[in-house]
Amino acid sequence: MALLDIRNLTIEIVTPQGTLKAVDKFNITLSDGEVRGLVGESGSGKSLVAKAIMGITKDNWRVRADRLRLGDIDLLNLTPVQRRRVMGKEIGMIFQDAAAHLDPSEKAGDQLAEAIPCDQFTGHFWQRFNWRKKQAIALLHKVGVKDHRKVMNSYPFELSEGLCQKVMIAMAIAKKPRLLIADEPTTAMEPKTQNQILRLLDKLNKLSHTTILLISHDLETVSLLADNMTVMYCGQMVESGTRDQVFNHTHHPYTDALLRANPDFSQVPHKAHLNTLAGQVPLLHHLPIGCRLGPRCPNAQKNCVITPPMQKVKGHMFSCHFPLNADELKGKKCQKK
Amino acid sequence: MSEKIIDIAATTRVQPLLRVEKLGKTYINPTGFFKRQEVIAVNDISFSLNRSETLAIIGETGSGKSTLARLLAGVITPTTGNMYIDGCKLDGSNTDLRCRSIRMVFQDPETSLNPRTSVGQILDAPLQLNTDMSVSKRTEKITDTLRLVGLLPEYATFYPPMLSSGQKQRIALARALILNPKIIIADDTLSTLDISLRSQMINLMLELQKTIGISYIVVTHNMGLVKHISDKMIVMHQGKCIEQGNTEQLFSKPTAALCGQILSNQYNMKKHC
Amino acid sequence: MPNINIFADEHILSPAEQTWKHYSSQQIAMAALWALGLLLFLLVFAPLIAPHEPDIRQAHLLLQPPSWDEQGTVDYFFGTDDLGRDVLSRLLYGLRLTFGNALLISFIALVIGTTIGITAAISRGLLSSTLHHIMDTALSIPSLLLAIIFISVLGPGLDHSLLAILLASIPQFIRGVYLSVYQELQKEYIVALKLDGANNYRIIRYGVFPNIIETLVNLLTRAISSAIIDISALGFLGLGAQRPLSEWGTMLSGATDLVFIAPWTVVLPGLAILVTIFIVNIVGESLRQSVIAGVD
Repeated sequence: MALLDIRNLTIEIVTPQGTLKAVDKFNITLSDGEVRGLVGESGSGKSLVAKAIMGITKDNWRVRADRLRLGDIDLLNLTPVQRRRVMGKEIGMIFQDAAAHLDPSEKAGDQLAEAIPCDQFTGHFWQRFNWRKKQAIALLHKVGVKDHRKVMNSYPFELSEGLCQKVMIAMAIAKKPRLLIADEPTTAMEPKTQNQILRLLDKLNKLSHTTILLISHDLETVSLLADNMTVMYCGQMVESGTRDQVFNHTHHPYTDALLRANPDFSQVPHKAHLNTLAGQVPLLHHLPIGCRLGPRCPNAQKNCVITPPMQKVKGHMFSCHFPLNADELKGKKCQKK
Repeated sequence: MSEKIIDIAATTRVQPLLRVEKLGKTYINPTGFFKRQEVIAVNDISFSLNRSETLAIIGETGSGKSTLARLLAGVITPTTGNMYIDGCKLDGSNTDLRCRSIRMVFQDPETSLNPRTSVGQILDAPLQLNTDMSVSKRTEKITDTLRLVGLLPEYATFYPPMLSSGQKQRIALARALILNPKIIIADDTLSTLDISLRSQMINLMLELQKTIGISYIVVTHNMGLVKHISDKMIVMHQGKCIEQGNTEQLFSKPTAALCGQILSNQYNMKKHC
Repeated sequence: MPNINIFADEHILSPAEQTWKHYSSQQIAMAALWALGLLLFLLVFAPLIAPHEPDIRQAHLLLQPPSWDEQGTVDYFFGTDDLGRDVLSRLLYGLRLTFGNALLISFIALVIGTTIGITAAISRGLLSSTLHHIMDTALSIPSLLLAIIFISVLGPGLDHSLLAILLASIPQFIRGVYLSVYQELQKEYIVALKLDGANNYRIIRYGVFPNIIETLVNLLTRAISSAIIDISALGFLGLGAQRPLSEWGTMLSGATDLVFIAPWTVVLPGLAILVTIFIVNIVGESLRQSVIAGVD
């Protein structure tokens, strides 16, 4: 059974300028133990999806979905109390700027100890005394922090961003969640630290069998870790499939543009023009009708003013009227949704 | 008297646009009642930069590269060293020369634009403070600069909270360009942007360099970027410059310090190929 | 290429317009605003509206009940007190003494406190440190107590009590303004403005000021409520407005022993204080939220 099943998720934001559809009919299915990458530029709505799954929405958001299930828990119809219980225990979340997401007035060790739930305690009552501290140290070792004394006694502003992110991961896995949502954990980090964090996530996935939803704007970073990838543009899902399908048999022009935008710099001549899509991501106030990539797409034709339907070929989903690598599709059975 | 002779001699050769000599910054933190702790953030940096050239400053966090960028922009005053633009020494008396010649684009576009002023007001402020242009001329200049960075003139009435981060970054670049500077300092501006936006900004910066001849000083950690856009580079470690010179030469014959940085970045490419 | 305005039909709202739009969409806030308008109108035109003089004593009309009671008359709408004075007129004149004075003090404290707070935030070193420590000391004493201390030196009376409350409210403003200006000065757009060549005045006026309006609204609301309570409290204790002035607190203190015989003389001034503070707080809080909503 799928761990996370989302069907037709729509998120609308009520602003003084009107109601804007930030995420439009988004579908995703996560099976147990997989690492899925969710890629999209800023403004594509990927963080909104993560927050909707977690349940941390702002007052002016309207979240609707045909199905939003985590295992056998229906996330749409939970009372706030039930939601809070699910939030920490079943789903864990880590964020982009780790130091800003930790309490600046408490030591990192205290915060970590606080995150450990009471009901994990097994043993005799006299062993309760230093149990939390020992668990916290064990968690720190699990995330790869060797010098636990320094980290336990420091405030967040004294720790480097890599260490802060590791502390946040430790806090997220303290309750042994089934799903870990990583919302751009390594953006704006140095490459060395980035590699450490990605290796850590990989280890967590393999050893503890935690499902990871890795959200990022960088296709390359996500591809190092993820088995399956989903690409979002302007609140809509444009392509989804295994890593091989998305990288080597790309169907949607946007995915192709993303792949070409990060070239291997040793091959491109010095100071040459880089390959990009013209134009910018449209503002939510002025979304184009039909296919949202229409105005920027190099292959756009008259039909693109109609929203393209989602097509599925052997688990590879895409929504484009004129997909790339179309000759591969001719012989295969198409399922139109 | 001797300075005059040196100046005359200097004008017969091609002068570098920017010359930095032994620039340094030391912070004094009082630790006890009478004790003081000296923290050397930047120590003894010297380099020169010509027109239409790009200099990249790389280093780990805490190596002092942000401090160096701010020293060059004029946000922090240096404790030692001198800077010369076109032969003119920069000190307290000619801050307007500095304002007009060196401009800075900050790292985070979300916090570098005042959310309560419109884009037009943000771009108007440097013009009002540094030039005597009339209102109509200023509006024209703002429209031209917005076109140069690829935005419609209507954006002048928008407010920053309504814009996406790519557009905010373009406006930050427009704010830097509007005074026709000779040098633009980009303090890690591209790391927070998405890939396609990053490519667009790079294309824009390179085009401006070709057409107007602006020099850039870029602070970054991305090695690929350094290789692509820079002519010269400086590697910083704990406030000191450990490696300096032409980019191509350094990449083809890397020394120990540079190796570590390049390899740690190339890890990304090799793992899942 | 002709200058085509694609967004011509879209009018971009300035922050002030957005604040007003958000504020006017809330019914409770608009009702409170109308009520505040009514209070201000009564404040200005009290002598013209009040049916009688506030201090005319009518010996044959002592303790007349209000008009909704069987024995009351419409001439004396809220009844009379133990000296035969019309309660409605006294309340209206008291509006000037309590509410009007509270507004006056709060605005003067705003101006003085903001100036000192901004100066403290820009300055560095010894001046800043000294101001900081003086303010911390002044703030550790509650405002009412501080006002009583001042009065014990100056002597009782309405003018002295107003001066005392003014001196006690200024430190709150200085502290609040200092903290928020200091935070604003750390932001990058202020650094950018400095690099543009702006002098301190421009930085404060165009960079910092539009962003601290929310703090100022908050401080002003609290100051007005606090001033109303302090003026009434001092009047009740006999240290503020002395009789026969019809300040609400003084009215309350004179009527405490009449609470069972003539409850309207106690309840009505108390209700007046309650309602005024309530209205001021609703308007202030809604305004503060509307100011923030524009930047969200």
